[in-house]
Amino acid sequence: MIRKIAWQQLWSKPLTTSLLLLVMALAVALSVLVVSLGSGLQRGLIAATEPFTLLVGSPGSSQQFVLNTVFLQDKPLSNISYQEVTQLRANTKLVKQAIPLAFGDSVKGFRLVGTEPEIFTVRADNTKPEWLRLSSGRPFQTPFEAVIGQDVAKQLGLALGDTFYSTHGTLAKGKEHQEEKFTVVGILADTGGPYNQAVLTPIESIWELHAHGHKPNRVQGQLPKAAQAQAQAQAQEQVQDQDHSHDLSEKGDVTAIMVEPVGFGQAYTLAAQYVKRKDAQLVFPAQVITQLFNLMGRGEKVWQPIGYLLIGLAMAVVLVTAYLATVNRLRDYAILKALGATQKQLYSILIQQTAYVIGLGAVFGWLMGFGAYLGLAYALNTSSAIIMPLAISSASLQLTLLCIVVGLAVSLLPVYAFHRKAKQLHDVMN
Amino acid sequence: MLTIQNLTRQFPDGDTLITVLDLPSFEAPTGSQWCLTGVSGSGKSTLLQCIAGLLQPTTGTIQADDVKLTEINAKELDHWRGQQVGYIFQDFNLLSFLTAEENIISGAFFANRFTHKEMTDEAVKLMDIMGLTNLRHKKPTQLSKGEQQRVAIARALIKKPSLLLADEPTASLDAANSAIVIDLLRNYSTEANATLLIASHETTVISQFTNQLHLTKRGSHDS
Repeated sequence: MIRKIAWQQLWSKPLTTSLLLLVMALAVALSVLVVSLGSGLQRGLIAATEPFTLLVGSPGSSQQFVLNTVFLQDKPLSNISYQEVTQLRANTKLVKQAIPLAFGDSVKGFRLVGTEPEIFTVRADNTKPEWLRLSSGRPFQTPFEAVIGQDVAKQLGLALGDTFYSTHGTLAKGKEHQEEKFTVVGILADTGGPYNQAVLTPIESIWELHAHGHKPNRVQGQLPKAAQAQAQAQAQEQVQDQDHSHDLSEKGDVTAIMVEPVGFGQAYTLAAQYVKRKDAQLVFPAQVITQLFNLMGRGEKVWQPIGYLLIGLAMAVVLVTAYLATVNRLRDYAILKALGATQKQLYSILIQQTAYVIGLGAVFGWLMGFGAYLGLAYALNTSSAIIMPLAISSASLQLTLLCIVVGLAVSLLPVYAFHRKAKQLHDVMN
Repeated sequence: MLTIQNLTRQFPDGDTLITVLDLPSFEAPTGSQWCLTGVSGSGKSTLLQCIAGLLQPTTGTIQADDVKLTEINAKELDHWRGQQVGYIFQDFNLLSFLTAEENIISGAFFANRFTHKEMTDEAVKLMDIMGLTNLRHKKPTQLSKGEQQRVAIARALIKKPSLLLADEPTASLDAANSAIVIDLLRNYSTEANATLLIASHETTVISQFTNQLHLTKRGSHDS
């Protein structure tokens, strides 16, 4: 009966109660969204770097290097010679595995990654299965065979045996390489990361395509006039297509090398060897991402207090309204008192009402916030290749729980106010 | 037996205190039926509220059977009121957010001695007696004044109180409904051997009671 009285009295003013629930829910939703995005982004970024223990490439921005190689974003850095791969593989004391990667072309906006079949053996760690597993087909064997990520297959409607042309540069509207057709021979299972949006092909495909296509600017002077005109046109195209700033026409060029060191100590020994080199750099992608995340984390740290402030304000609104409602309902409490209700039962009604608003508001808020996070995560997962987990973050649950606990604690304030007003119950009845 | 000795109640009026009730002594045997009479401001409502424990007397004692109401603590007084007192107000004082049936059941709930089934069965019985069955799911605002007062009486009777207090229960009603209400209260008092105190200034009501307690308006100011 007490529960019924509390509930029905609360909803006797449906508009007020609905607005209070909305205020509380929106405040919690915003905070849950901020916390979930921060946590989801962190988990997504870190998960994406797991297969890439070390990366070797040409000197330049380490963040751009990692963004391009790991997340298939941004422009590739310049190339380095394939000899670097050979040298790393020969360094068996420090290096367990070295796999070349060549970037620069794309397939309708999806990055074309030239590499070697060894990439299909890479594991994030020994307890996990291979990073790139096939859901159908087989690994590529000869040039112009391609293994495509599951997003590529879905979004371009490509199946085994289908053919396509690659595009010069990384823009979806770039010029197609009509010289050679690629054939889909395999489709990747979900990689849980950006490589769902990759098109993998033997590195020789890239070299051959660029050998057929255009010559590099640096050899323009040695070409016949017609070829020079073509090269000039292509140079112009390169200016327009700013994200294709390198050239892979020289056989033996690679954009990055995935390096799996023998062990933790060997990784640092190897890193030390690259510190003094001016023609190449070695980066720890996880470290770069942590730096990047810390940079982004500052934004989250600004939003978080705003979220908490909103929750605090919402609670204040709920409590003030609860107090005003209590004063307005003194007549009801006086009637209940006349019926034999004890002070404790009246307090219980008040606490339950505030708890309903704060508790339900927090739960609705969590659902709204998590729903918004799922929507954003889904949108980001399909558009940006940063795969944020579509799962509940413990931080958002902790935040909601904290709201409920604090809310229940402060719900005693209207009770205290009522206690002070209780002496007036008699006056209310007359 | 309800026994009252040297009962006074004062209310503040600016810097002074005004005495609205002064009752040297009063005894109502169990099952007796009384009408409290007097002009407005003579302290009829104040006396009923003091007896119900809703208002603390300034001086004096009130005893119901062996319970000294002016000596027990607030919690014990709430329990006693919940179990023993049926209180009927002039303006019904139904809870607007509950249905007629829920209002009636709320009267028994705070007695804390009935099961849910007992309360529901008794409410059905009372609604049948009082012609409220078809109105059970209506909210107070959907009821006429006569219907509201019948719900209020059912709410007071459902707990089977030993002391029935009614403050001007017919003031808002027409003659026909007034007669029904007084009959219901007197019949209950007779059947349950419950003490009945009705405050009224209506001659049609007063004339039905042989036991009358007349209160005079004091209006004296005591500093």
